[in-house]
Amino acid sequence: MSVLSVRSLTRAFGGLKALDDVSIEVEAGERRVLIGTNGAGKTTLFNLVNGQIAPTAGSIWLMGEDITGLPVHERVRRGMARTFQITSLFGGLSVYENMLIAQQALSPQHFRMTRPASHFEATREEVRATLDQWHLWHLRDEKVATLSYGVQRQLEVILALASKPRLLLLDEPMAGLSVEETHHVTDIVLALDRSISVLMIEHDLEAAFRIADRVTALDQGCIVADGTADEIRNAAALQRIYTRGGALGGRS
Amino acid sequence: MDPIRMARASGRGEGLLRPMPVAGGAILVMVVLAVVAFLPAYQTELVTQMLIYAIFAMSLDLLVGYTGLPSLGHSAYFGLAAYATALLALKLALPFWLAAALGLACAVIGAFLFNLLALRTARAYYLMITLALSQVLWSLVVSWTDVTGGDNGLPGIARPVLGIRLDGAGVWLVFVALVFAVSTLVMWTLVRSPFGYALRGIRENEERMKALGYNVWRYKLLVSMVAAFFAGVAGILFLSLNSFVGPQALSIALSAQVLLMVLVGAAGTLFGSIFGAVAFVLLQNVVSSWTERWLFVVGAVYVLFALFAPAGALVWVRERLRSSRGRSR
Repeated sequence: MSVLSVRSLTRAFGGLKALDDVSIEVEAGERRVLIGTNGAGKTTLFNLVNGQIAPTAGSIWLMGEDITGLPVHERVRRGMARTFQITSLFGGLSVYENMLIAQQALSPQHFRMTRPASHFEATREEVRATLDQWHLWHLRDEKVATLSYGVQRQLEVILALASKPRLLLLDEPMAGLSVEETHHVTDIVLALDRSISVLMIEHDLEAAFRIADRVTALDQGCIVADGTADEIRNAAALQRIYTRGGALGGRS
Repeated sequence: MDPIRMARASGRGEGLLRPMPVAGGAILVMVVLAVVAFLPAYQTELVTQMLIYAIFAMSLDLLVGYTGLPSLGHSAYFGLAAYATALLALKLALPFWLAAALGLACAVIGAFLFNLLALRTARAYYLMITLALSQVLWSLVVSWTDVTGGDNGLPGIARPVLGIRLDGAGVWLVFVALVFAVSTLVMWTLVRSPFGYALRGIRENEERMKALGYNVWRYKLLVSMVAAFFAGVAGILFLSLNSFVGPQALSIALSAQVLLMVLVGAAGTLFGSIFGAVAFVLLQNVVSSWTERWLFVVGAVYVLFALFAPAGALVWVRERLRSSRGRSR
């Protein structure tokens, strides 16, 4: 059974079809990368899958359940998590507090108001273990807005993983990173447990081809190519859309 | 050691503002006893007013400072609880405590109904819609003269009995201080709870909270009802302090004043609101005894705060302390 099944998804903004009859299946443990030039419909597809916007037509299924009409938080509770193209953290709070908020989100105590958060030992330990695992414990008291961009991108992924998702949507996790930071985040994605399926938008084709089991190329709201990294690297359709916008094989 | 406890300030003064409840309680007891023992009735009443406004301001801070909901209609809950209590006590002759409990229920239900509508908006639009909704209540009270007394309000509400009569200024202050202490403790616990951290998350980044699995709307609705409850507590105490409630209790002026208390004290710190309330009552009552142009002075003070301590008094103090500590190293 597919973890994610997108069926004939269409989204129109007025007369413009940002996404036109797109269907994608993401299998369990698969790393699927969406590529395409700006305006191809990749982020629209993400926002539809995530529930931030509603489709004009079509349906979205998560692990066999139709989630088309569900709000964002309900999709998260069913095993979906996402990161954002523009870093989306709690900038005024510390790294620890960011992690705490993410960690308690799906725990039974998240609605408790009669006991201080510091009294929930299990959550504290989980936060500590997670920050230790990602080598961020020494930054726990730092306000997130003061961290380097690379660390913020890393934290973005870690927060999404806190809900222990079955499907992780990564929206350009390498955007704005240096070559070294890109390698670091690529390693993080490659190291993710195979119990998590990944659907990722990426402009850095080198990183995309390194990570992907399958690559889907979008152009003007439609799928123009779909296959393994090697198949897509040489696909004529991809050559065509990328020669409009830049070189193929490296950073677009 | 728990990093939440030892974490430095989050940028909104939270690090400074984690006093031990025992110390805070001890200071409150000493202040109240000193006031009751040494000050005349007028000053005792001023301190009582400060405590009532402090509860009111802290309740608004839950919305403005912690959740990022800028309300300009918070007096609606203050006035709603006060009017409901007064009407039930006067017209239906209900015992005070029962009337007060029903008055609080009215404030909470009012917040629920208001926010079913208001939470469809955000930021400046939330501010405008809360203002509009509170003005609807205000105009209802002013125009429904037969029931509410119109501009004349509802006088003649006796102070309650709690084993002993709470008539005297001193004993009433002690009672209000007790309610203030309990309210502060409850709100302080709330903002440090998982729920409180979720509110901070909503203030910082609502979309991210949704993407983490939080039902943001439910949190906002619930905190609005909690804030309305404590605003209602303040309203009923104010009603009993004056034995009177008038349309001022629902006015935009009161909503603006309590918002200023929060902002001057430091939004998102809870205890800053206490400072804001004390400063407001002092400015309003003390300065007005010196000059007829007291509003000019009050306005000037607010402008000075906006210019030199825009994050609020307590954050300003914390930054001064931090920089002086840095220099001494």
